[in-house]
Amino acid sequence: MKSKYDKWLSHEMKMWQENGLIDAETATKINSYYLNKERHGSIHLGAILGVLGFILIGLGIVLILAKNWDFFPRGVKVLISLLPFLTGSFAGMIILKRRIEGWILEAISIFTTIGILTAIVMSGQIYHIITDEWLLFLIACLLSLPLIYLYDSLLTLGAYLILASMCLFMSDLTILWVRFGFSIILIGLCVPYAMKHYRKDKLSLITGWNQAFIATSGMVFILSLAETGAVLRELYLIYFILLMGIDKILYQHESFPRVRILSILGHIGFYITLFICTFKEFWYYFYLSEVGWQYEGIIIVFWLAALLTAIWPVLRKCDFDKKDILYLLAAAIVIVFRWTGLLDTDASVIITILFNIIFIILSLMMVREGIVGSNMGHMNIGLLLLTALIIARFFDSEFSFLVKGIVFILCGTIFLLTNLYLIKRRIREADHV
Amino acid sequence: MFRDNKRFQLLIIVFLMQFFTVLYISLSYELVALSGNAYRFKIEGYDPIDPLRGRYLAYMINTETVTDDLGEYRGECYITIGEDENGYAYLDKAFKERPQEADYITAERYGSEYYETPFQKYYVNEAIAQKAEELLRSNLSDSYVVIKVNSGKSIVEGLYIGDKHIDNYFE
Repeated sequence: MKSKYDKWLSHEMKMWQENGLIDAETATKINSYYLNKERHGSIHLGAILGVLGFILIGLGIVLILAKNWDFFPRGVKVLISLLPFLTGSFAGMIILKRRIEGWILEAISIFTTIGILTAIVMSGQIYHIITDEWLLFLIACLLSLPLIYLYDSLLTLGAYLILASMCLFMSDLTILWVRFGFSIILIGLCVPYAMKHYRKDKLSLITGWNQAFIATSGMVFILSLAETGAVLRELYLIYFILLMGIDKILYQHESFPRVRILSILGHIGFYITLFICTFKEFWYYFYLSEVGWQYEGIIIVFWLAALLTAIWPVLRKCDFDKKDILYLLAAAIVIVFRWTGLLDTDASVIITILFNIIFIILSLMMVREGIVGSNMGHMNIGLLLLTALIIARFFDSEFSFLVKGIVFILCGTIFLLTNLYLIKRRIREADHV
Repeated sequence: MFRDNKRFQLLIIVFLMQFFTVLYISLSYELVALSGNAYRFKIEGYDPIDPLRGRYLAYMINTETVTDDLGEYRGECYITIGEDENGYAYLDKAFKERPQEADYITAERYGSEYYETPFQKYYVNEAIAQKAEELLRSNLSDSYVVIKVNSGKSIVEGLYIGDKHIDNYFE
């Protein structure tokens, strides 16, 4: 099926040929290039249905086995629990031997992964024994890892990361550095796969999905680091800054305006977290300043990494985004408050005000960028953020009506005066012209 | 990433690695089922659901009998098994190191009073789960599980009410 871009290209090429810009041979070459690209790069409905079919069959088998067929002897039960894994593996061997490519590899890979998980968890059912579940998920995820590479399977990457996330959430690894290192290793093991696709085509759909899976699981891993009550607000902020920074490094020379997953996830996550940080009550409940040196060490490692990615464009003499300074500053404020012991209920009003100021400045910067660069999207997002903050503060019951009233009037006056100044400046500039 | 022939060879290696890992898990339990020493533990329970492994009767083994010198230690520990005058087993003494002479189970110690043992779920056929739960609830004092233990590894051989295996009540 031809997309609207293909139709546009065909139409344009016809015009180029008619105007002598390209010859027939070049037109054929361009045509076959895009046809080939579509064949290898696009995802078809049939492929999606095929893969979904295999996943559903795999899950159906899990459910049937979960019924627990008590008339089978134990040995037969063990054999049955191995069947999905064996079927998937043998089907994979046949397909690789016959050099069949395409969606079937993806389907077989995910089916085998479900089979591995089934075989492992069913041993618990058969022998009525509950071993450490995180260990079972770890074994399943490590066994599925080679399949990502062998079958070049995006869905298996997703399954691997889900299994790894479950493993980390369930694990009773109490030493934080071990847990942290473990998370880095589990993510690191699948990064070469993502990089392979990035190098092949950095703007392809598969590359985007790879990045989305890895970025999301990174967030889940960070969530798993937090012990009950020890909420690491600054770590979430830093993680999202890191995502934005990595995106800038990966796409520093990319001017083509395509969807960049890491940047999108980073921005969405950062602004949501920042918005939540503008609520005073958000700073009430937790172990306020005591999260231990291990947490502080991890926070510093992340912050330095985020700082490095933020100054990377400066080192490479590329465009530097001034908003990055504010992003890092927001995270640094929490770190400093935590270190100085100021992160307590009494001082929560100070940090709340600081976060409100940062949020307003960032929103205004975005509006300004939108106006200067004639980018309606940026301007609208900036206005949306400002509106959200105004509504939130108007209904915020944590500040007194008097304080809120004065702040609203002050902010309104500042906005009006700024507006007046800008109008006068524009008139002066127009007079000069 | 790989040339096709190499990819196929790698797949075979990966398959063998996966197969033996998965098989090892089951075989290690089967070994305990065949050669482990059997102990009867009194229990109490109810009927929840596990999305992957189906319905089970959840039960608990009394850990109040456990004594130890572990202070505030939290983490994996090894608990020896004793037997009372009625022939029922009980959890006796907890150690940080594996005991050499007696049979033991592996458990998790949370503080000085709470132990989590691996014996919590008895998987039953979906069709009989509800009835099995009712039966278990009304006969808790007569219920026990038979656990087989071999070198710290253990499996649950069966759940009994009176002298009858729970599955036999629904034949």
